[in-house]
Amino acid sequence: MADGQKIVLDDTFAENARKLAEYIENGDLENADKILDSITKMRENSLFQELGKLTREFHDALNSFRLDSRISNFTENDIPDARERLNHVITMTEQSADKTLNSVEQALPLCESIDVNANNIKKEWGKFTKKELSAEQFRILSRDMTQFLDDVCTNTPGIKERLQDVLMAQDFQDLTGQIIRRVITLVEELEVSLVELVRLSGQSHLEEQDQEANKDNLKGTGPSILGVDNTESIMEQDDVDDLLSSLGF
Amino acid sequence: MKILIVDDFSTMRRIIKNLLRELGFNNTEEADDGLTALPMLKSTSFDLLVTDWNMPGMQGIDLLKEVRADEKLSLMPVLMVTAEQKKEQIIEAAKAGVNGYIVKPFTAATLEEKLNKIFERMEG
Repeated sequence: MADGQKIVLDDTFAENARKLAEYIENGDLENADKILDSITKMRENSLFQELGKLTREFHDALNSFRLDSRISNFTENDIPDARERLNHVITMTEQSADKTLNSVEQALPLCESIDVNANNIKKEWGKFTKKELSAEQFRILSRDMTQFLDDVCTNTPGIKERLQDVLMAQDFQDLTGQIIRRVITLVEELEVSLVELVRLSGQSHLEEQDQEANKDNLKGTGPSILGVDNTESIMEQDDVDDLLSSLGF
Repeated sequence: MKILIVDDFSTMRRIIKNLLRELGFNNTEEADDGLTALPMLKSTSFDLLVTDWNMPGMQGIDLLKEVRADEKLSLMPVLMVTAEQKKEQIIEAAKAGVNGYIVKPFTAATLEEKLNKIFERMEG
């Protein structure tokens, strides 16, 4: 309430009091009653204004409380949830790196053995074409070549398999990317709530946000994480196969 | 056999492409979401659609519904390869007419098995 308004009210109040005393002294009860009514009305008005102020404060406090509970929901649930998801990202990238390194470490000796043996045979074959090999040396070369071809045929599928493992290990990029995107969305939501907390804006936007958070299960949310997501409805490949076959697929 | 691979992550598209090549399917094309895939499906003749679920733009489930609703594409086999593994989602995909559902992370053997199943049904 403006100070100016208060002074005007006080002046009117004093003026009315003076008039009231005057009417009573003159025995004018009718006018004295009117003045009394007007004074009472003034008191009611000021009470109403105070009530309005209280209501506004209550409304703001309530909004602030709602924002507080959204923020506390972030700290109690969403942030620990995001932390678990990010930990899962670390685990997945670690597993992928291990898988890749293991495969490379297994494939390299196989490649090296092919490299060394092929070079030996090439050298001996060169001598043979220059007629520098004895019959005995040629028999050894012939035996080595047979052995080499056997080794290549045996080891090549192993090398291919390791390369395919390296290929499959790269799936972490898609899966962790989906998890990180989800955490980014959470951080953005947190930012919006913090801004709103500062602004103490109306509640309608908050309700929209709650609805957003409760969007139905059909929206794609990326990989489910054990211990973080509600695991009741999560299906492994075998469960998926069983469910689809029960649905006639 | 011409196959369209739809996934927003290029690494996953490359993985699937390489696995398909290993299985003898060399004719593949790629799209990064449903919105890009749909015009490709409508303008070129594909024999199989392999799609992710969770993608920006148009999600895989909506792409599947669009395919089933299109007169020319409605019979095309659709294999979903996705990290979405909630029961409600799998039922939704089944209702929409998916032909196979693979949960990521998956193996080369799983892909081969599901593809064989789809082809057996197409022939049968």
